[in-house]
Amino acid sequence: MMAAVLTPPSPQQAERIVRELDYDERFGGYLYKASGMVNVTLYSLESTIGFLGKDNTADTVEEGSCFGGTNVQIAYVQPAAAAQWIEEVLGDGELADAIREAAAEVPEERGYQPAMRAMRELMSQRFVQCMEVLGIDPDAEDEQVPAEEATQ
Amino acid sequence: MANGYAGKILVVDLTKRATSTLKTEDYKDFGGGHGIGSAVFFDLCKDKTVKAFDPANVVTIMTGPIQATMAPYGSGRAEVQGIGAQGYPIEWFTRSNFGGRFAGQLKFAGWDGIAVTGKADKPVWIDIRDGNVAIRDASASGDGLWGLDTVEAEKRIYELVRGKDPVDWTIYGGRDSGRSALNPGVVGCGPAGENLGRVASLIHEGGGGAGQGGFGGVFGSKNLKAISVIGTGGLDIADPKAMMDARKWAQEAIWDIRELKPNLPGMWDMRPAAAADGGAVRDIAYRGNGCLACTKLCHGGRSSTGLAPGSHCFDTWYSAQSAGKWGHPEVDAGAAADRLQRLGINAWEGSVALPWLVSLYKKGILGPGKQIDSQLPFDQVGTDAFNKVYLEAVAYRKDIGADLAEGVARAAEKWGRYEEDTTSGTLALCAHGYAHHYDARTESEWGFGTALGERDINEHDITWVLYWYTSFVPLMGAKHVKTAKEMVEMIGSTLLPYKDPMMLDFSDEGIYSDAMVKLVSWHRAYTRFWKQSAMYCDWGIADWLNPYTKDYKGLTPEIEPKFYNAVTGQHISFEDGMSMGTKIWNLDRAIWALQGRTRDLDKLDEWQFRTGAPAAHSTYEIPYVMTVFENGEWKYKNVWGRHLDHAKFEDFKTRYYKFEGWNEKGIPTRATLEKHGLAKVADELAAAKKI
Repeated sequence: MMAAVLTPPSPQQAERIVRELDYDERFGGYLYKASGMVNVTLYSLESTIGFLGKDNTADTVEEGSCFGGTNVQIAYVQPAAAAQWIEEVLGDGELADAIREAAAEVPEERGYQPAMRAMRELMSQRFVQCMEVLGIDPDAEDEQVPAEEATQ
Repeated sequence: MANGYAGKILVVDLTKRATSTLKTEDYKDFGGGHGIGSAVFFDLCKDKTVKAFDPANVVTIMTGPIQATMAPYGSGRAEVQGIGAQGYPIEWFTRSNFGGRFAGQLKFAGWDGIAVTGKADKPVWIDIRDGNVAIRDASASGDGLWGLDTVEAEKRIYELVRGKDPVDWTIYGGRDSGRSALNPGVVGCGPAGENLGRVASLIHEGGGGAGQGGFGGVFGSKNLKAISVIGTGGLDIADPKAMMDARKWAQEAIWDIRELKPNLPGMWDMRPAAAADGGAVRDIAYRGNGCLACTKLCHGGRSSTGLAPGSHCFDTWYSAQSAGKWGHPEVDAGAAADRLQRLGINAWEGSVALPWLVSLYKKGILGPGKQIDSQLPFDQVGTDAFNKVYLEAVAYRKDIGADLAEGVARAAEKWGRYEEDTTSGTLALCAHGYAHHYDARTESEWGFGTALGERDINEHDITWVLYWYTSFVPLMGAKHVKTAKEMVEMIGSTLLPYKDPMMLDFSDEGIYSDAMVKLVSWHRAYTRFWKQSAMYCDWGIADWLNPYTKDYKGLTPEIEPKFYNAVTGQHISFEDGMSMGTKIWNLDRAIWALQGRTRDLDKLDEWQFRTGAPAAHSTYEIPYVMTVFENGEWKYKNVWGRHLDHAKFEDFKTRYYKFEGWNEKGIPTRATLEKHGLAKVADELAAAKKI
């Protein structure tokens, strides 16, 4: 499945898309893991991409067989809900539509994985665009307060 | 007493620095493990209302007959019991469990279990070498264990016991004193336990842990750093041929690694075992690693301590979810898990603690100078730096860690957040102060079993097949290998003595039905005996859907008595075990009654009656597929989204009490207790005016 090519956002749009969100703007995901299923609260596009990156089924599901067993973990975000959140909170209608279209192309019998991967690819594409527009190196270390100092 | 039993139980009184012995024979009617642990606790802890950190509290670590044998799924398990520090609002008598080598070493040393009471006047560790038991100085002026993390302490004990470099595979003891090329089995607390953390765990070999219950804190309260045991003896079983026949029988279904077969979505994968043996699949990404004599090897090399068996998914969960959740998937989950294990902190607690704390931070309630004043760097959540400072705060009671070490329930109460946040679900506790796990709203046997007990039950029997597998099928785009009707009939036929597939109806009405009363009762009895007393591992049985057998039928209910009888020489049936489980469940319930259990404490936290999904900008249904019987037919259905109903749950409790033979307050009646041979328990309840 080829992911759509997104139009680069303006700096203003980029800032809104990648910003850290407030509590009332949060999004929810669910991580299926053998030890339990836990609600996951997401406060940014970056953390959503990171969460979807925890899905390891690309390595464990093969045609006709299921390997990985209880080591499998599925990072679940409903595509329609993600599109709604991206459109209404992040203000990115183009990314939202691209996710909807990608999800619609996946036959139900193929399961969640193809839609999830398309969603993650589109989000990642948008995130990189935003970083470029804002002149931020996404691989650079965040400037962080040394944690040990913070508790002195 | 042979036939799988060492024959005696060690009692250590730390106050008197004295040891004594109980005869296992005197407790044989309880089978082993949890059953014997409950009975020993009942006898030794005269006042059941004492607090967890009271010297009079009794902690037992018990094995059952199959430990230290070649029976699969259980040889390495040890059951921990006593009044736990974690329960809220009451510190309930509770249990935990860990795998590894400790149980085997204990039995090779000639002990079926240990009971520890009293409190040492300064830090100590218990050094067991076969029949020789010493209470040694763990303080800085002694063996220097106090203050060490769990891995450091364990390595130090290896040196102290072996007297040589622990990686040097020399022989312990001398020619005439027994020999072992192994290190001792060690279980102990970390700094979190030393500092009386209610969320402190007991750790064995770097990654095996008894996490729930707060027994690390109980060890700390007794000034007990660790117990070490090395045994040079053996263990007689009743029928070695029956054992080997049973292994051959089971091999085809659970570990025939010469012929790797296709798996089912979410079900156990034999590749770790195959890789460990150089078998059919060698390209696995991690080395198989497991508990003593186990074939499942689920501790797949996830720990970087170098101490086998390494951390399990429970332990990496904290870091896995925090890293993925907060946008730092690059964080080394194994390293963070190691940090957690070294400090001796309950991994599961973090699964609800951290999201809750972040929500408070995001709302402006928690942070520097805020209502809940904290200097912890919540702007860095998910990073290694945050993990380090957060976990050390909990272990050493720094910053808000002083409150979090008391457990999130007590922290929430202190901060005035409990009512609001457990009603909204922001603080997702299930019951009794324990973190939400599998969902009470969808899986009644888990949620209702937890409410009627004292902790998150953490028993995956139904979950593996009727939620985990059934939900993974659509998520992975696979096809069910059984129709819903075929599935419930296959599993239902094993729910002895009932054999009722309606017990597996998880529809909106089914979860409150009389059939569900039977399932919850069945599950309490099954786990109390077969899992926690016979002590097969939770990740081994029940075996209900097996990818490797004809028609996918699992080995339950044949496997449970087959190995148990081979070891013990008894001829008990699966149903006999269920009866013993009911007896043990009633004994536990009686202990809780003595502690002050009343009907109103059989409850679930309020959010589970209010919300169907966590409130966020977008909420939606997720696949939580179970079997339901609706409009006259069985089907797989997504049951996510519903919430529980107070009136129906209360009615369920009333019918459940009646089914178990308990009074309207939920206390076993004298007739019920006497039926199970527990007359003296009834006498104590009567003396306390509970019945």
